[in-house]
Amino acid sequence: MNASNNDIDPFEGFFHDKFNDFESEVDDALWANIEPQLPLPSFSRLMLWHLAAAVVLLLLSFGLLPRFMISPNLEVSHVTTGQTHPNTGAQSSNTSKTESNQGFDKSISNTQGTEINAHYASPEVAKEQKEEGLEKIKKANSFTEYSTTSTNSNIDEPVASSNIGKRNTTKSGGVVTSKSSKRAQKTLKTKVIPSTMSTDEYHRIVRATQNTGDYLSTSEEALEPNLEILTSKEPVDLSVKFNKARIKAQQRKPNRYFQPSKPVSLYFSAMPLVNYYTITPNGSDSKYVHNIEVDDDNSRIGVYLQAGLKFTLSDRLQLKTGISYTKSSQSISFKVRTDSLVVRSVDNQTADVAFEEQSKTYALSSHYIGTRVDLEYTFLKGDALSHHVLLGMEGSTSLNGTAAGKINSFLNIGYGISRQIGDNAYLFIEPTMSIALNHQSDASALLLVRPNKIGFNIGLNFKIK
Amino acid sequence: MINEQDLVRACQRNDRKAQTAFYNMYKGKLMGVCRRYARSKEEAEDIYQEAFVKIFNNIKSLEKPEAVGAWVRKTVIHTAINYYHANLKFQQNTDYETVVLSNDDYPNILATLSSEDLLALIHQLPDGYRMVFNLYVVDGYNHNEIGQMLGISENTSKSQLSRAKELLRKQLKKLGIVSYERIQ
Repeated sequence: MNASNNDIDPFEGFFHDKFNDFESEVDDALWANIEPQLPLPSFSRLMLWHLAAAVVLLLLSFGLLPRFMISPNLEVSHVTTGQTHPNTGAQSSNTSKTESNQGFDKSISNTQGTEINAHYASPEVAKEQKEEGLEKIKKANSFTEYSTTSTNSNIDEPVASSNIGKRNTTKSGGVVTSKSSKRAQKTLKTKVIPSTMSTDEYHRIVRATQNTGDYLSTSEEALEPNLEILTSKEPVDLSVKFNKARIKAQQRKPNRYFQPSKPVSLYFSAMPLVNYYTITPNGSDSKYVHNIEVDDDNSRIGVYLQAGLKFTLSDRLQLKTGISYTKSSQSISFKVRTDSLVVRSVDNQTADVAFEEQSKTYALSSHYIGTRVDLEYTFLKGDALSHHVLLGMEGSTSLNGTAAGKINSFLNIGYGISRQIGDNAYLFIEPTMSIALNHQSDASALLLVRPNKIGFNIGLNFKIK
Repeated sequence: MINEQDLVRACQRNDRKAQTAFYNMYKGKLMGVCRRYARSKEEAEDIYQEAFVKIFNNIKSLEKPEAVGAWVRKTVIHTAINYYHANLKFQQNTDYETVVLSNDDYPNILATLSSEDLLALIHQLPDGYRMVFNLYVVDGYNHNEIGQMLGISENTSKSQLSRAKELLRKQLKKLGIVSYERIQ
């Protein structure tokens, strides 16, 4: 700076004072032209990427989507249980309702009609019947009013199959056998009548239950726990009594929810990458920026690592999402032409020759972290290899340098081959091209650089579910 | 009320309200700089828009928010220089004989000349002269710095400044101004 020089020449001082703080009016319309060219808030763009990735990860990781699809079945089983309650003839308070219902579930399963049990005597039939069980539960719950007999048979068919080979397997197909009736009466005689219930009321309950349907054949055993519940003053832990039935209900869940054809995989991969740059001068700078060259081809080499989850959407379509790390560097040299300052003198006799070209370098070495979401379509499945194509988006942010915090977005295109190398492990090789959707620029903003990437992605998939 | 440094930090986060406030704070001064370096108001507006976009795109690189005033001014000056680098075809010789100044008979016009009148004189200078004159006289760069910025030698910068001043004196002489005193 030459403040001291300005003090020497009054001519220069005059202009300096006149223009040092000179302000000029600005047309308001200019801001309207400038505003659309301003960068968006980086925070919101970053958050957009991260939120989208987080939501997808959360939803799919915890299996909410499949749970939503299956949940009506769970509801059905509860409703079915509740609907058997009026048949018990033992109305109770809301708190004891569930226990009573569960009690009758148990009784129903154990007191299944001999006809059904006889039918289940064959293992093949039992297996077949077990598979039809859930469907029948659905049907049963679609009725709002139906007979007790039909409801109970619908509910208990899958459960009853577990009783194959037990005490009911030798029974004939009759509705009520005389032998069992006698046993029931004998048992009733030996039962202690609850203190809160009269003898007549106790027998009325037994008779009413005996007259309701074919499950009366084993009613003496079936009623036993329920009547005990009624007589007991102490709360009964029904979960202990009916633990077996609960386990059966839970066992259905994984079979239905997680079919072998819809696994979730964990993947890791590494990719040595080569950056190839799309370099253009910035706007009007194009007229005087030239001789743009990448200085050292070795500087194009980088590393790309990624890890994440892969969700099977269908037989051929998979969704990959995860995080990525990129290490890349660049060194680009270019020249700025300054011959524009060649002007003739006033008298046109001499000329100021000021041809000069300034050499500049745009060098950058950065670490990036990002998130990506890809769709993978398997178009060919062979005995040993399967072939897929991949399309997705990636957002990454630089962790250092002048571009720190700035978002780079990429469109990923790839083709891959995978091969099973273990029970749950797959090796894949994936030539991938990432096309940069936005540019980087140096501090003087003379160049716009798009850091596209090409590489061979090599990694492993592990089925985790 | 938000201070200038907080405003800069908000602009570094690309906060749109802060950008608007920042623009309103500097628009007059920066348009003044653009007017000095440009030959016309239209060109000044082009430089002005380009400069503000660069400012907001690169404000993240500003490590010292307290120096934002000098930084934005420097950015505008560099944008103006680049603008004339890119528009070489318009920078050929100017016929100074066609310069027309009014008020030839006014005895002591200097004190009454407005900034706009003086700008009209500066605008008549060839681009190279005008650049050097603005950089040296108004913005306070020395010849070495000017040489690096414009890609010319230090001696070229000195000679261009000398000729620029000579031209301006001639123009002022035509207006009857022969002596110059600093305004206190």
